[in-house]
Amino acid sequence: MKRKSRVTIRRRRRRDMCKSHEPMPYIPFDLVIEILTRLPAKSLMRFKSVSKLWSSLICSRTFTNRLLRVPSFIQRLYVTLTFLDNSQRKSKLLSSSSSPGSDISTMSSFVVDRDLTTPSMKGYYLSHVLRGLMCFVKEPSVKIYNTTTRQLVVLPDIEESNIIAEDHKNKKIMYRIGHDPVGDQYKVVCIVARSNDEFGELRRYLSEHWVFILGGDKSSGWRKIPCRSPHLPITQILSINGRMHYLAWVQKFDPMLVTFDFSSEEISILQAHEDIRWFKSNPIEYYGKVALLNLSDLKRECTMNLWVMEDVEKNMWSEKTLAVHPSQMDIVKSTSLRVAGTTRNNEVILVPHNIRYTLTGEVIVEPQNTTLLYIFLYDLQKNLMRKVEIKEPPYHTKFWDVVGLDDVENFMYL
Amino acid sequence: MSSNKILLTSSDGESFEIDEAVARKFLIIVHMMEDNCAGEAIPLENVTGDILSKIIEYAKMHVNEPSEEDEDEEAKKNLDSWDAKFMEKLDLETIFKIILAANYLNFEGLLGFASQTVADYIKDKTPEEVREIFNIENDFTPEEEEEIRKENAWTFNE
Repeated sequence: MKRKSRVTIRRRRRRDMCKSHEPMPYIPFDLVIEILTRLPAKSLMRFKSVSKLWSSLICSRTFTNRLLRVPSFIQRLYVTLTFLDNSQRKSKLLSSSSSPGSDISTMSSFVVDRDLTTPSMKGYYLSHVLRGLMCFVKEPSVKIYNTTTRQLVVLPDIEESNIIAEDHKNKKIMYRIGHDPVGDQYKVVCIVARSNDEFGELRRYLSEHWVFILGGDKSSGWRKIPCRSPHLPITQILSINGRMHYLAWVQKFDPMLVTFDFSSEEISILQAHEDIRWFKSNPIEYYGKVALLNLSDLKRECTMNLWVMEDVEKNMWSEKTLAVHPSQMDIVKSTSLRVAGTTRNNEVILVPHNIRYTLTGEVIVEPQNTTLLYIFLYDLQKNLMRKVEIKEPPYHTKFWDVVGLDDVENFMYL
Repeated sequence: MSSNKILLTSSDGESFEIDEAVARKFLIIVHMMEDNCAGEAIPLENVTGDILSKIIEYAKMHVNEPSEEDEDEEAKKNLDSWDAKFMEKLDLETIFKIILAANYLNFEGLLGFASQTVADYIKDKTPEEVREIFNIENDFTPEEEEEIRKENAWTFNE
């Protein structure tokens, strides 16, 4: 019912909006809050230095929660560019926004409007963005960046981890930011795993799960979470509804669905359906449910496989094969795509990527086909892909990547 | 449809006769009517006549608030344009008074719009200017202030 109350006011010769000499009427603080909640992030950050009261309000959790409820019409796509500048390799992290007024179902172009590159990001790989917070990794080190306040913190090392300390070649470390809706806290989970040194049937894994609470009492540090079945994560991690999910092997080639609840901090493991192909499976959100989207056949046969967890209690899955619309087949045949999450209106974010694997299993990033930046949004129900372009990058390079889509302004102090 | 008239009296004795439909935009009046406190005239102790007349002017234009699904783009644009002109004519002190009055009257639509107007006005201002506008004392020590500015240097530049 509420009409958008944003009106552009021509700020012409408003001689003096303030009548001089007379003190302004006193505005009680709760009405000042009405004004503050309508300010853009940059202004709010600047106004932290107005007074101690304003500073503590702007950083307070109640305030940032209020802001989260004001729907942000602006979606952001984060892009990384790597290019040579005087034979020096440089990487930039850029933020682009959808045009105001366009809503999520019709947005078709984004414009780069912010450069978030900070020297402390150098050498780190941007893993993901969640609710305004970014996770930068340079194994085993991790940094968390708040895209709204631009604060960057280095998390302490997990000194008590046995696996991290080892110099094992098959060590895998993954970090994930998540939100605990019950305690309204942001936490970072670290999963570190490696295989045991046995082969064949005896192959098993060692794993550790660690949790760190952001913005809290720093002295609590990383806490270890017990897990009855050590496992090796084999897919990306999906965060939805206060939980994270991924496929893992307890036993090689036998995929299990692992779920970590950010509130209870419990790990649960379910056997995945035996027909699920784990290779190139991506956990996604499908209309509020956990699902796996498999892209193995996309390039060759223009089909995708979708497994949806319909009932957690009974561990029941449903399966669907999606055939790309004939008019869109050349898109998927000519470009390799990877999954980078889902939007609020259930479109899957597909990002072009050009990587190849060497014989030793290393990943080499090849240049993209074009310097033009774009992604596809795939509507699983209508079975249609639409292209979204990202315009006006400050540099042109064929080495680019789109990290994720986010629409939350988060003012929390890390 | 009944065209009941309601009489409102400002704190400084000015009277305004308006349609019930318009008066219903002010939730404080709705509550008074429900509690049957509304007799002949409704006294509004916390609003002066000049401000009340502006508020009534705005309420009259918004009495038939179009819903989100309303297809009439033209009407919405016209209303937005009228709203912009309405605010443009007002100085900041008046807008502050409108915010206070709209809050007292519980007129959410105008409260939101006026708050947005003030937000747009102050968004590019410096902290000093904001302190002046809201009559706020700077309670930071020079060292503390320097610290915060350093942390947020980017907000002063771009």
